Amino acid sequence: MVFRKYSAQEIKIFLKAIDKNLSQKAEVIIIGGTAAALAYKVSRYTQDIDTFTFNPEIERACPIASQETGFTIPFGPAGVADAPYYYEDRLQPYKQLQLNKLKIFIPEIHDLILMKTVRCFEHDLDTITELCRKNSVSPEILIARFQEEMDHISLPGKKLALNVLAALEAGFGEKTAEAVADKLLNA
Amino acid sequence: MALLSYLTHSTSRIRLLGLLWGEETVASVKQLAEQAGIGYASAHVELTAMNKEGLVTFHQKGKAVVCRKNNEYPNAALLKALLKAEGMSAAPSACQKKLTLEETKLHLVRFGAPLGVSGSCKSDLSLEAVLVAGLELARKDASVARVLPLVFEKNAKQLNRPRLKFLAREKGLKKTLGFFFDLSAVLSGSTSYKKDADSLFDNRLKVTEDFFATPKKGRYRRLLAEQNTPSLAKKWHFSMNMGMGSFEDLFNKNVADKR
Repeated sequence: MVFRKYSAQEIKIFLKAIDKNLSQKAEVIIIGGTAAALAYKVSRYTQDIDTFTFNPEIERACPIASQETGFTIPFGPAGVADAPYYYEDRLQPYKQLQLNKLKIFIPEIHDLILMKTVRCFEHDLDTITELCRKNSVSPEILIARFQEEMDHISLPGKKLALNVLAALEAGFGEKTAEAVADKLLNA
Repeated sequence: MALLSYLTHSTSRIRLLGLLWGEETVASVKQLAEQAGIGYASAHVELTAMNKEGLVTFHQKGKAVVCRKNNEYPNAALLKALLKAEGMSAAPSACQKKLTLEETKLHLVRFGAPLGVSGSCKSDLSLEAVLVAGLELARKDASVARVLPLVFEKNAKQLNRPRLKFLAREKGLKKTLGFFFDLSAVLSGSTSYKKDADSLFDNRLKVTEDFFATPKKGRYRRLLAEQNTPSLAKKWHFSMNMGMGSFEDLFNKNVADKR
């Protein structure tokens, strides 16, 4: 017997089913690993859809979509999520699916990477490595955005700066991180 | 197991044949008894009879005497075909066959891991063999580490824990398995996983090792591991950049009935 699985396809089918079962227009910002997989070619992810905000209309349509498709894909606000201050101005509409009522937005890639630095666990760093390898990412933009748009995020001590340095190291190598370490840690 | 059950009423015999001929296990009588879920005495009687019949051989492995299938058995092909027809995995276990990264993930998804993966694989590996492959991969892929407790939880009823411990020990993964049993116990509230974890804990081990064997791990990544290692991982002498929240979030999202 052969077992088959096509996760990215299943997520798209699930999103279309949500769209079909909405009674009114709804917008959602998808973040996290699934955003990275849908829009930025990342292959290592868990099959759950993290969103930035809660939408009651989508919440209502989810179980119906589950029943129709047979897919149980957790869909809802992420436990820990924060973003650069002006991330909303840079949101990208997700156009790879033809949807009627559901409008999906994905954070711009530098914002998505910086969102991952808030927690910055090992799998976040793995995703950052893959994002930088498979897309055009600028360390200068990451550094500038961290310095200018993330001081509203409060973490103990220099934790966030350390996380960003780990992210730069994961994405671009030790030298890139070391070159800005003083600047970020002593700001 | 319809035909086998018809040919013999002995569950012990069927289970031992499955382990020795189906999964090509080489183990002591005690280990085989544990994995088959039967008493030592029953296992001893059956294996002695099998040896007399020519189905198995005994030989010395270090200080222990171990039992294995006899490759010279004249009806070996017939027996293997019968076991395969009964779905008792005549394919080599994960101990012998090296799975690719994608194959391991696909097999884990078969058993309920919410991993994003695409492709196909044959459904020929046991849950225990898949979990052992998963333990190995978890040390290289943090997404796999996150989902393993879910696979334990979703398959708790059918998991053959002695078999899993045996296979993990064979692959030098006893400590990793112990950690995941302990983690699963915390996430699910299961006391039985706690007992399994305790049975694998080795007081003699004192040196801390990186859980994620990432080559060329950078300075900042190591610093994060030092800061973020949860106390449960420290107990098992692992250093890892993954807080309990990361495991809990995914576990709670995917498990409907929380204990």
